Amino acid sequence: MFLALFMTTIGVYAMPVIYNLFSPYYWFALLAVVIFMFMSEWPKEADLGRTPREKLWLAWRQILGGLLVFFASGILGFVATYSGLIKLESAFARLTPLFIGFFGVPWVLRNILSKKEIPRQDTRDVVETAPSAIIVGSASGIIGGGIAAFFPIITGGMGALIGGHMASSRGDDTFIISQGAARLVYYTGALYFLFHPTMRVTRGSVAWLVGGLYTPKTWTEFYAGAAVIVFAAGLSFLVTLYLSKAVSKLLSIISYEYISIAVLVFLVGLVLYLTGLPGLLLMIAATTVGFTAMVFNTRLSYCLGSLILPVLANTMGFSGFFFWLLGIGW
Amino acid sequence: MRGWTHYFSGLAMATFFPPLLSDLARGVMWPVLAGVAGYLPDFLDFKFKKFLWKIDYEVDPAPRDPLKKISPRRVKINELPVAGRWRFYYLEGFIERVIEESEDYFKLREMFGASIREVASSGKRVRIPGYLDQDEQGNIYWNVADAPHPQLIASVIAEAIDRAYETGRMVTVKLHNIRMPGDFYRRYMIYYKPSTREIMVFMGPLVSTGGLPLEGTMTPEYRRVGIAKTKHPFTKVYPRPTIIDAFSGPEIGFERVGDTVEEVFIPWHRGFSHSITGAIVIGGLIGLISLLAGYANWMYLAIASILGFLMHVIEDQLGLMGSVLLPPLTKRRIRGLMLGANKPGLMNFATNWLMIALMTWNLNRYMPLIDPTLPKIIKLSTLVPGITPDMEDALLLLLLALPTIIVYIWGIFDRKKYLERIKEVEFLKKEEYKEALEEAREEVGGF
Repeated sequence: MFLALFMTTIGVYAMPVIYNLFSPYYWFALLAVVIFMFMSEWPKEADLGRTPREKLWLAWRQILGGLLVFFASGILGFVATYSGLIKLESAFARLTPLFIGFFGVPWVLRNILSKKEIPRQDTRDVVETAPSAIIVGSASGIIGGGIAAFFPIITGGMGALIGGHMASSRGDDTFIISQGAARLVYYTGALYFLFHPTMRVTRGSVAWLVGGLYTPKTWTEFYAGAAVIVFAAGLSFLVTLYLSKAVSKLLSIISYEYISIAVLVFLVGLVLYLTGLPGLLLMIAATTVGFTAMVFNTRLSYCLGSLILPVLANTMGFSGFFFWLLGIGW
Repeated sequence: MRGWTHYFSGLAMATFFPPLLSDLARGVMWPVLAGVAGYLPDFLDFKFKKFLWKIDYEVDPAPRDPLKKISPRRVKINELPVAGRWRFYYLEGFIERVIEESEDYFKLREMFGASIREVASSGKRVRIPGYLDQDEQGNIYWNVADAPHPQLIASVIAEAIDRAYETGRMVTVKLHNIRMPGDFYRRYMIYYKPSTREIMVFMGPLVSTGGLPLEGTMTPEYRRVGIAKTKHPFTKVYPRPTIIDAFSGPEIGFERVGDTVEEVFIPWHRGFSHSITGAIVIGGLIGLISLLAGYANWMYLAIASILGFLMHVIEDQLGLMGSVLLPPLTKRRIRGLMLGANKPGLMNFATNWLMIALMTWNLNRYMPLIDPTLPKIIKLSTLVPGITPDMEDALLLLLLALPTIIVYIWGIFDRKKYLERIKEVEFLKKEEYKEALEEAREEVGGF
């Protein structure tokens, strides 16, 4: 509702102005966000050190681990994009092995290895949060999702980090609310940009897919899009209420370990089908990077280095160095 | 202010210089260092100085399990030092023999869900959390509990204050937080009462990382409050009450000033790194590095970095703590302005908005300078009748910054309200603490 209201009122005038002002500085914004992520890494275990040196090491181990993950995933991004390892006919899915390796496989493997049993879930209609947390969480999510929808490559998670700092959010309930709001604004907002007749911005994979088949041109389509957003939001609210209850019940009935094994088999099969053996090798390499982030207790979002590093290196004129380092094109 | 606000302020300062903007539009990213300079004061303090600071007393009321990293930790009875009194651990083992089972052991029965004899005969492994304590006769016993006793913390703080007075040097106490299973934290609060020379520590409920209390987890009255008296006078300088729950516990310094001991909250923070002197040094260094690296606009970058760093220093003055402004000429932190102290989140957002306003303003007015083929995007003189082109930039800035100006003005009024509120810490008025406080006062110093 907020998104539809904003986009059909203030957004009609503000968004094209914001786009024209800030679009020359997209890559500056991207680099700034990445540097901030490293600088703002909160050392979680440093207090447990016994000596100052040990404390310093525990703090910096996490930060350095983040840098390692970022650059390792960046290198894999270069390999997947420029090395020709993935065949031309599979090039449309060249990043699939990486993303499944970074985010999917470590997660299911951890589920399997940790042998956690999910306790019975409480599905009563009780909200365990405060109104202030809902307001702050929504605000930080809307800001974060807006940033992610507007700036290329910046994801919902990265946007929500900034949104959280801007709106001063704190706590797990606020965090969950903000992440939900950020995703909504990011995914829906990015697609909705496509409908703006005077802006002509394509953000997000859905917008790219839709844009290939159909390009909205008129204000009528723009307002019809807003109506559809409101309708879909209402519908999804109702569906989510029942769906989340059903999933919560199923989680304590069906073994989480078995679900994880099934998901793992599916992911490996998907990568093999789409990209063949080279893709599978890339996925294994990416899985080790994803696990490294877990071992160092650092942000998993540093794995987005696979996208960010090649883009920044191209913009700043460093890609030749990485090609030389990896022996690509030499 | 949050980290991003400072960083963003640094980035905003870079937009005041058209040569830097022009570089950014062409993919030359040196100006991002102005943002780095904006965040650097906190980075230096929280990533280096915090860990290198000398700690005199380390108070860990509930040591964590080394593997799970949550409290409590298992302890063997023969390894329990008497000095570990009031510290929260758990014992684990089998009940071999029940010597007696009286009404006094109701907590154990509640925990087991059965009588002690039943548990003993079942042969089940049992886990009993609690802390070591002494009764009036000096006999040691295990107090079954779900939290440490706050007396431990109160006693150490009182001892640190006296030591700071007697030695004349700063004494730092590191307080660890209490992380419990399920991402909950046991909250505790420290209240200084200089008029009676009392340190009161209140053991509160379990709270989420967002600070929401978990119903039914308040500690019972008899172990809710710990009070310790100091021999020497002290003053609390930092106006906010000291509450320890999620993330990490603070370091608190105590320093003798004249005939009293002053509390210095997180003493490693906001020294040289948060000063005007620091801004000049860091800005100069950034300029020098970029000059040596061959960056043509190094001078603009140096100035933008100094401004970015200074923005951090200024923004921190709006809050409670303030900072040391001109070391080595000044050595002590000045107090912050305490604007909008009841709603620091709103002040933080207003500052972010101001930076967005400054960036938008700069990008708009410098647009023709950066790309001569492009006009200004926002031209108020063509939109609003009576506005001349000379006035339009100033008016645009005013319009963009208006929300921040309103919030800052509100912050001035809110300051007064805040100062009135903290005169009496709210939780002391609550019934749940009142009685426990009276009870603890009767036993000042423990048995």
